[in-house]
Amino acid sequence: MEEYIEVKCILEIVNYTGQGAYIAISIIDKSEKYIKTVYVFGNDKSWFSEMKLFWRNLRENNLFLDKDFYPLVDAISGPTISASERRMFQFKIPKNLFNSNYNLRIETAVEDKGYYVNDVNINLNPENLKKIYQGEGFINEIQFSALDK
Amino acid sequence: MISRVWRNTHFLLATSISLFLIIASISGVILGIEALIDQTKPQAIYSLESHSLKATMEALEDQFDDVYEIVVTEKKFVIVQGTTPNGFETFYVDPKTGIKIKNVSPSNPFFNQVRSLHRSLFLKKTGRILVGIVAFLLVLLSITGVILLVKRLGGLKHFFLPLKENNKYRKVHITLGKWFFIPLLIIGISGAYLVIERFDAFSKNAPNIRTYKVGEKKLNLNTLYLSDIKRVSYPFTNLKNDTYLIELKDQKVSIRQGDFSIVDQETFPVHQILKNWSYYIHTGESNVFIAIILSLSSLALIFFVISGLKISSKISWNLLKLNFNNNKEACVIILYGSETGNSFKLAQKLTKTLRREKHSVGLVSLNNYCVFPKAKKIIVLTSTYGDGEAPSNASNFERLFANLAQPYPIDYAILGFGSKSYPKYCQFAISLETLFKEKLNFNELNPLFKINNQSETDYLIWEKVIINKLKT
Repeated sequence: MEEYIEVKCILEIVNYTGQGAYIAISIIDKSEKYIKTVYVFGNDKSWFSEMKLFWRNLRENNLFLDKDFYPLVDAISGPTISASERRMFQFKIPKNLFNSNYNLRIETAVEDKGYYVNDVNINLNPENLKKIYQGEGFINEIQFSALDK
Repeated sequence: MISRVWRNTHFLLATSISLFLIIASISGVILGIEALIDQTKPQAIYSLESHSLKATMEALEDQFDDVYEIVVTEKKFVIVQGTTPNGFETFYVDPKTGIKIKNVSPSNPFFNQVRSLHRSLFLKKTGRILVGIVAFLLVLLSITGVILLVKRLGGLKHFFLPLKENNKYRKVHITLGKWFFIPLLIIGISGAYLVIERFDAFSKNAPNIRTYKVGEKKLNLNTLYLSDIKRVSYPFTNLKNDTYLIELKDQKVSIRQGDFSIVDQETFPVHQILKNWSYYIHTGESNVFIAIILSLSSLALIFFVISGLKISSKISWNLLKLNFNNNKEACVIILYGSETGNSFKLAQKLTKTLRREKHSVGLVSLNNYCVFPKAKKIIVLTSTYGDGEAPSNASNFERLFANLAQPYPIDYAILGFGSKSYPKYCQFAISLETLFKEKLNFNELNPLFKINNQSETDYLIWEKVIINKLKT
């Protein structure tokens, strides 16, 4: 069985005017290839295309048909996050992806307000998952905590 | 005259958006039913106002290792996210015991599609703008409709009296109008507001935030009830200074977890509160009664459009094809005053019959009365509108008639349509008779003839008489 590390996360959105933000958290490799998407905010799939790279990966790999991915998007992920709101949630990362050349990419998009491919982008290692980060786009602040089991 | 303006506006508005109205109302009925179904689910908590936040938080502590968030949805579902011995979970809870009711399941894709259609016709932004415009026009439609309704009933005092109307489509249209104009007006206003607010029409001022010193003011979680709450976000760590973020209907408060003292408090601007109200009233998600009214109103709207098209098509169709006859050459002029198109239909029938009898006939509405150079006979067919007034295409006749003289002496005959259930039965035809009698060079060809409820037999009797009289 594949082993996972549970990561607790709190994320706060900047204050802007406009609709709620779509957010996708994915693991990518050095060549920016998507390995796995671990969390998504925004449950109206017709707007997913605003997160351009995430969307391209979804389409090219037919993830819409994926049994693991679909429930994730449909059920667990919440709706979009509006300006200056915060959310606390948890996601799993396969243990074998730690300490290798994998990154955690958090991309965000808001209708008519822009798209940030790397709102936050950090190398996946236990050290990095203990810190607080400022985002470049709609993320004001994001904090991780890898839960030891 | 004024009444015609309202009618034409009402008609134009209705025809231009009828397709959208049908889409919006069918999807609206479905969404209303969804709201009703959702409120019968076990996770819909009707006693939200009796659960204090404090008690709920304590109940949750027993069930979760670590609570992340409590969300109270518009549908009165209490959703909690956190970790249990099974791992990270999100489920509906009973706020009294903190016990799981069931997992949060994906929302039904069918209803999602319907919602998307209702909001934006699957056209995203363009669609939303369109829907917003339709909602706004629905407001105008309700207003013009009510004005026409009051006029039709002969004043406000007749509003609650039983209706005298024989045409079933008109009856449906009027009865629905009485019952549903208020709900439809509200649906239109709230729908339009939701669209406007979504496009940031209200420039957001700097948020209204008030900060407090440590210990200055505390929030009492015992007197805060779930019915006031939208979302509670728990602190990330155990640190004393870490905060709870509590979002209420009208404000957002962050409090220190150590002593529950308020760090800052943001009050929402009026437009956001209005939006919440519009959402509440437009979706009926949290109130069964509203959901029922909304569903019924949507259903009514479908019948409105159908009955409306049925009763207006006659007039509009007929008003479009009037230009064939050569009134300058005609010896017999048929004038008609028609509200619903019935008098017009019979006027057309009479025209055909007389033409078969080799008369040269011109067909003109009363409002288009003018000098007819060769006319020797004038035959009028007219109904009466409301409380003895002229039908809309006869509203100007009196003035025209007073100012114009015909070159030849005229023999006239008047046929009035009406219903004996009205006190002023055929009143407008009677008024015309008086005018004609007083007019110089106008002589009676046949006395005023009244027809009750469009009786076909009576009409044919009268037609025969006219044919014979024209022969002599």
